[in-house]
Amino acid sequence: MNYQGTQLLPHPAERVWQALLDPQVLSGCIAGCEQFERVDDNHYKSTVKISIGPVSARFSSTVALADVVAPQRCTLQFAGQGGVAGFGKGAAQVQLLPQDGGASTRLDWSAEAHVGGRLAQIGSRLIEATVRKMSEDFFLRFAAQLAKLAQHEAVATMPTAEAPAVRARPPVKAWARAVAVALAGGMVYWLCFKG
Amino acid sequence: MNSFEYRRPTRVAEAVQWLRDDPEAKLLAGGQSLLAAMKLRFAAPTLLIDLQGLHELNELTVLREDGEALWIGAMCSHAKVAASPLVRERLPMLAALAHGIGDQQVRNRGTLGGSIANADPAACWPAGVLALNGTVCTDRREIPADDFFTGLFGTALEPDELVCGVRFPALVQAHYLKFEQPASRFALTGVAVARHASGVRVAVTGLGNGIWRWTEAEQALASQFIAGALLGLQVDPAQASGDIHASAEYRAHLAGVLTRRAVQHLASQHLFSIPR
Repeated sequence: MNYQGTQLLPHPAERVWQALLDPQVLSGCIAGCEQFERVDDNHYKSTVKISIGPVSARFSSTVALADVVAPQRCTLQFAGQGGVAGFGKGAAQVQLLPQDGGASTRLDWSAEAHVGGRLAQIGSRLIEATVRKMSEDFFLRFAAQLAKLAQHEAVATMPTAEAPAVRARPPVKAWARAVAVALAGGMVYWLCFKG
Repeated sequence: MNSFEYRRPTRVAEAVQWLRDDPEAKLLAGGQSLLAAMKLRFAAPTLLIDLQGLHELNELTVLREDGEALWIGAMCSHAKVAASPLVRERLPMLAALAHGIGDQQVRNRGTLGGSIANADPAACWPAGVLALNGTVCTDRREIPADDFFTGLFGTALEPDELVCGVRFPALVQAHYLKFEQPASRFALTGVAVARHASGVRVAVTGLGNGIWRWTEAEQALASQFIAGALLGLQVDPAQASGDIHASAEYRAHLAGVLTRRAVQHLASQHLFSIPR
């Protein structure tokens, strides 16, 4: 089974690459990820609950990064053990291509997966569609995470851009004044009674 | 064996409350997918909420105030729908669809609500509900079929939501055909074609990625309702997934063949009975 897809991300390749290596982003890309911890630079351990239709199984899995060529390509290797349900392993090759003079990035991925054990024996009719859905979900979630990160950064950098204006006339909000008054009142009260 | 608790609510609100209180709880309708998954240890809910005591979910009736729409309660079994004179008279396609599911034991236990809440990508009911433009009514809202099914085993249901039944618009000419997987009688591919006053709907099940509407065929049939209108139209195999029983290409091809046959059947009926 082999699946592939392409996504155009409105971020520079360097930025996409950083996100791809960020454990927090990676864990957010895996639907049903309950735990995600770093073993070393290129290895992670995770617990993933997969619920598809009537089937619901917890997999303890490993994620490894291989063939890393920054910031162009790498391979994400997954392996999971789901107890009596069975096991699965797969790999996704990711390639980043700068577009529009570096302003955005084309992410090409191709994934393959193998499922064994009772799941494969009983659920064979559903495996291809399931693996396809999970790979597509992973990269859709990646794009969403990236957008969210970019948004956070935009918010964080905004005050710096407007810093001169802010310094010229510091806007003191009513609630800030109220807090200051309350604090001052508290201080006076404390000083009087302690004194 | 994993132990679990078993409870029978007497009211819908009670079932919803229990479902809300325990995130690992599962609703049990006919149990034709869930119990099999539990026996195989693919699922281990902590609590089973058995809905068979909720008689209001077992109604099958005509809604006079609602344009003669047909109401089928979520807990109606396939066998009950198949044998119902009301369904056979008003929407014979649904009676035939229900009669073609699994075997007699499955039809006696399996339910409409269980089937659509599970949304198996090869199940028959989702094709019928989608083609007939049914409205899924839950304990809190009404969801049009187009919004209800969201891909592989996916529905618009909240984790604590319960399907009460489906309302089918009346006076629709429809036909369902499936090519069976001989062991399970699931649809290897199945097609439901429905002629509404407002247009034609074609729903395909069994392609592998969830129930799907073939809009190109719908448009072609809306202008001319004959099998010839489908000439040159093909389902893209990328729309399908393969397995050991059939490849994606084979399934996509079957969808085209079954759609033509269903249209032929409906068009020939049309000669003898003018649609109301």
